[in-house]
Amino acid sequence: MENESVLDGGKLKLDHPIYEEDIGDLSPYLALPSSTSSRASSSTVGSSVAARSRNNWSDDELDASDLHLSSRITPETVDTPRKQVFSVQLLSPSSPSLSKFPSRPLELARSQTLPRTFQIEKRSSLPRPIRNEIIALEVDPVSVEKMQHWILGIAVVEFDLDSGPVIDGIYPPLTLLPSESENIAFCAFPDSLQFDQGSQSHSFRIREQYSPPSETRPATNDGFIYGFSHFIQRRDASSKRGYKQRALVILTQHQYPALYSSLVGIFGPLFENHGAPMLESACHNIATWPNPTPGKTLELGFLGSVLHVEIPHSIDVQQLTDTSSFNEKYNPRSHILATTAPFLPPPILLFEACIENLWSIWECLVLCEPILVFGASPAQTSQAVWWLRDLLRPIPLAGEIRPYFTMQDSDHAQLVNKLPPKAGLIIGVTNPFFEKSCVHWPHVLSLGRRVTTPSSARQKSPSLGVPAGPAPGWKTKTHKRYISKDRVLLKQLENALKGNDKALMDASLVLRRHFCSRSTQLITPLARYLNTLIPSPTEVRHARKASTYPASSSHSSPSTPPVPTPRTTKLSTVTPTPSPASRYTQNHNRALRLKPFNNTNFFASLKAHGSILPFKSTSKRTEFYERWLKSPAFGTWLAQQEQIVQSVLNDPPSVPPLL
Amino acid sequence: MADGASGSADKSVQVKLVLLGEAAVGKSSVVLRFVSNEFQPNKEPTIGAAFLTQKCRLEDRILRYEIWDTAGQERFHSLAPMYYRNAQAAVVVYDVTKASSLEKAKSWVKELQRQANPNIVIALAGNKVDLVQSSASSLSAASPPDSEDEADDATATPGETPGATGGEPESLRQVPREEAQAYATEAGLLFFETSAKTGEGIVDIFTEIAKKIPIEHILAATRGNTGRSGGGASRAEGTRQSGVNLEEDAVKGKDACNC
Repeated sequence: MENESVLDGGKLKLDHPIYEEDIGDLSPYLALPSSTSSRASSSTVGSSVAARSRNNWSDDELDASDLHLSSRITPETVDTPRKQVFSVQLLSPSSPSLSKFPSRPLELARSQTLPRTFQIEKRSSLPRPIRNEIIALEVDPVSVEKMQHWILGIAVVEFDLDSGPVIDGIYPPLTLLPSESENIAFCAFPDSLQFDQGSQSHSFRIREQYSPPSETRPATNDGFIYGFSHFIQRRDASSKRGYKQRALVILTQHQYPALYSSLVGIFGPLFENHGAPMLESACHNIATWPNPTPGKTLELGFLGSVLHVEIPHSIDVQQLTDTSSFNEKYNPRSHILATTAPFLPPPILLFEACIENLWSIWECLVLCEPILVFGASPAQTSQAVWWLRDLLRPIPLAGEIRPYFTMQDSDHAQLVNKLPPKAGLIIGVTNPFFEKSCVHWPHVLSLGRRVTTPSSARQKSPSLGVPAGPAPGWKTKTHKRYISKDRVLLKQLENALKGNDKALMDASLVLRRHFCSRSTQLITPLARYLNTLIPSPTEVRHARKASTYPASSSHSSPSTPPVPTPRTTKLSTVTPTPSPASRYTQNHNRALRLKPFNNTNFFASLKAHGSILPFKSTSKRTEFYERWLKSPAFGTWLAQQEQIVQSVLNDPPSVPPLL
Repeated sequence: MADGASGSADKSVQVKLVLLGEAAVGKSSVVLRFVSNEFQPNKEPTIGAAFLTQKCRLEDRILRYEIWDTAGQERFHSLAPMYYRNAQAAVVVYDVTKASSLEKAKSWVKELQRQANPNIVIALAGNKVDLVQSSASSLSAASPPDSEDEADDATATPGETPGATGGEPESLRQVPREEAQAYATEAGLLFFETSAKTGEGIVDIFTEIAKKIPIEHILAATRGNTGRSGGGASRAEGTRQSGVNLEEDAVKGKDACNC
């Protein structure tokens, strides 16, 4: 399974009936035929995403064993009117009493001496059997350490009538600050109701506020905690609210949305049926996985399903469907490219109302323009934000992204205020409040299909009413396009939107490939110019001569190739050395490094060689690159390239090639 | 069937296999012997289920077992369906020195026959046979206290190796081979007595399962041509005879490799 074969991309095997049954296992949003709770979820998706009737998963596809799994939840249709439930007061399940939540000062939720208790300021009078079961779970340090290679923990978030959503328990135990756990709890719940009974998956990203790593607090990769939530809502007469609401959240340090969305989509419904033993089983499954090694394709067993997952070399590398490392042709239902957005439901549905504007949206994206992404559900916004982030590759992410952002987020005041939004900021929101508070933002992307078309789903669920917020589509105050659209592709996409699921998925992947290659093409002239800044072999040799060779372990050949062989050279200068391994690299930076980037020379090179991107005119091209060179993405990209060049010069083997 | 049959690794046929049985009968040890050819005397109990793979060659076919080694503890019982769902094969393990474990095995077989994939190939394995064979080997018989360590799972219940203090190891046996064999034949199961400790019978289980699995059927299903009907039943029926006869050619066709 490790051998890499180039696959013929684009064409998917979606029409195979035998895969159908598998979809639920791998899809974060679509129906899981083995579980009635997810069947309810499919109707959710049907109503909220694009009002498409998705009745592919009829009951006759269920066999005896499937039914065995689906014991508790009775499927209900969405169209049961319960008007009072959707009244204004309850429109926001996660924020019934916003005034009760002032931001709290930083303090530890629990001390190291009390690792198994989870303190929540306001204790609920309700019995919390799950909390006790989770606390009772055995904690084996060896297994926990292995789990923590992949996850920080799996949290169970319950709705407390007094406090709103609260984390009821986390396994393996994880130390969180109160503000962090509050943030996670609120992000785990949708801000607005989309369905009566059912389930839905979404994801979020929150800033971590507590850094010293410990046994119950593994280090994050980038200062952020990634959460993948499966929210479930059922009628419950015993609750004052009339509903039982719960979210299962996988918390992780890895920016692998496709992978963790799949995992939570499998885990969520199973947990609802089986409780704590399922949580324990899931975590111990994860403990048996090999480490998430960059560049590896892993086969991961998870709760009876097998996931084939490609881990990229780095977070900014494009993972392409047509050159994926899977042995068979890439199939979004059985293969996972870890860093992509979840591919189900087909992402093109999110952009139905702005399909003609995609080229402008992409330009804003690469130019680090702040974008407010508005959706009917966190499932939509998180898929869309991950999708946008993915299209950026190989351009590094220079701004902040929040796949699902709420007013309760501890960064709310910092990110959304009277000031102009920060460059590169992309937030996904569902609360109409943001339409007002972000009225000065330059670009608003509202997801879904155009409102003019009456949607069948809305007719099905009259109680839901018309969603508040900006009408689906793309609104920009400032942006004028520099680069031509691909009209052939646009036509193709428009046709696909009239087609079936397979057509939608095919079109989504074609769309992704198109913009991924545009992002690469954007970089091409820069990479070309950058190549001229790499020290020549002569310069490399010269620099080496200037340095002294220690007697030990030095074996540079006299005929040094352009890319030098490993050697251990020491300059007399003393620099602070972070680690012995990088010491020589550090010292060498002085002699061997990329020459300074010169804007004038770059534009001369751009003029001489042109660009593959179909700019509307050469002056537009110049304007575009002038802007891009001022964007934070350029700075980040250049720094990365400098680092790559230096590591190539100093540490030749096993380095990804320069673009 | 869908997730089990998609051939992901070169041209091998994926076979989803689940191990079931009472706690401490040696399920994990059976898998460890098959996958790594190793044995750990005091294995910690499995939580949930472990996932392992093993590629095997059977004549001109390459099979890739996706093995779900489930926990025997009762609190995980209700999770079993998600592991045997769509499984093409199951190994139900009991402990030859513990009569109650065969009863548990029978209830697993019943559950599988009622709820699992109708074409599932089920093998019954009486493990820890090394504990009752040592009459032939004077060494083991002479040092009965060892039998405590020989129980190949640390979760072994107390009293499992009780009368070991005597001199006659065969007295440890609580499940006569004939009785289990008769049950297996009646229920249409492959049957083996195994020892994860010595390796006896382990490879044979997986070889005979491989022979009995309706590979053509799986391949056809992978190509999306057929559903999960009983199309391969006659072939499976035909191979059962040789399957029971395990001593003959158990190891010959197999080329196990870690993958």
